[in-house]
Amino acid sequence: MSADHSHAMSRLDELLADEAAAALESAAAPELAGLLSRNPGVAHDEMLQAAALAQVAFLRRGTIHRMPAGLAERLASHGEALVSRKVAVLRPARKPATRLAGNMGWALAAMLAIAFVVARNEPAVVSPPNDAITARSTLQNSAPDIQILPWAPPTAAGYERVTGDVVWSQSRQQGYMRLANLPVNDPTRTQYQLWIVDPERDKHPVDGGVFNVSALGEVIIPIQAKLLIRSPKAFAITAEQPGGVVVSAGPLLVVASI
Amino acid sequence: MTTNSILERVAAGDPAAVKDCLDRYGDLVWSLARRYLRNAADAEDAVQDIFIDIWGSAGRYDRNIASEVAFISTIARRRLIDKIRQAGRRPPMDSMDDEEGAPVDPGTPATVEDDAEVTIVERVLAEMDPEHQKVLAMSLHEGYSHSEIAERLSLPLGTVKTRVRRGLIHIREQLQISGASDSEAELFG
Repeated sequence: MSADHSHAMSRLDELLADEAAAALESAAAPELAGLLSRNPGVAHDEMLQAAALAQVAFLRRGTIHRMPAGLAERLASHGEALVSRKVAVLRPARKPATRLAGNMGWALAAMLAIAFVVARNEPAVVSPPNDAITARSTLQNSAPDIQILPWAPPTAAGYERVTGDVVWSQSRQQGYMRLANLPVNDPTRTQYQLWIVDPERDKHPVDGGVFNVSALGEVIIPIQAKLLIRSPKAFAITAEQPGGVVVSAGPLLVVASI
Repeated sequence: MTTNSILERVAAGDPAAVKDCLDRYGDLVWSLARRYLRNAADAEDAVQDIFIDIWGSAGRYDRNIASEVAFISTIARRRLIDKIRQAGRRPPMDSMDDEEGAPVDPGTPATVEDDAEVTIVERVLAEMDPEHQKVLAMSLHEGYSHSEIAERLSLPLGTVKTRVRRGLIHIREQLQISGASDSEAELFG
């Protein structure tokens, strides 16, 4: 091992330790990134885990507090729904593979153009898959606190014909959107994103997941609330950049209010 | 046959694993959140975000790389540090002044007591001299900056930086040695 390499590894350890101790100076961040990229064999997480385990060890010297029962119950209910949904057939749209976009952009554009021509001449009208209908129906029939909220007549240009509803169970933190006539989106350019307005929780609406519409007709989309919803007042859909955004600038395309 | 861990069961979509995860690690994450956030509502929000992150990341968990305690506490620590940075403040030094989250009853087994990695770290810390332990505790657990530690302990800033760095590097090395021993034991066991 050369002296230069040894020095670089020592410096990398110092910066990793600073980062793990939440003491990395912003000016040193590019240096850390550069050293990590030149040393791909270094496990970045190991120092973070060392710091976290040390904190656990210090915590155990003091007092461990019991998680409030109400919080545990809410989390259990939300988590069970979340974990179940992860393996269900109904999945939200995945983030587009942006690395492929550069190579496949023209091919995708050509395919979309063909699809658009076909759609104009002979619209491909689809119905939701049976498992989506069943899942929505099961929730609707089994949740004791189900709310069914029709979408308000949209006024946004191009979205006037959208109809459907939202079913939502507050106790299960689970719901589905039923949307008919929502225009097909190009997922390499925009994706639809659901927002859950919950002023009791936060002034910013909660991300309810991104999704795509690939054909005309009716779709049923599971709601993927990223945070625990306390008291939802409205559900709204926007069109955002692929992958969605943290805070939307709108406009609201479709809205269902409680 | 190896039994699936809680996080492996979460990744496989087993809803019952969620309650097991909360039963085993809920108090730990809650106690960490209390260290960083004085307000009970903020702590509850943070704990919710942490567990959603944990369940969403469970597919990345690899028992050959880290224990569940290491995986979960790393996510929790990162999230909590991000939260106080966003708020532009450092964690309060005293505990939260609400009535939520009573201390675990004496005699109740702590949820992480049988974790081999925590035991290793406790041993490593116990072997350090008290002043070195104090510097690490103030940095990692109490949220003091290096300059604040230097001022409070009347130490040169460089000494504080060096002690925190050396302490963490030593802990990481001891965990690596332990991991390598475990792998050898599995191979030749």
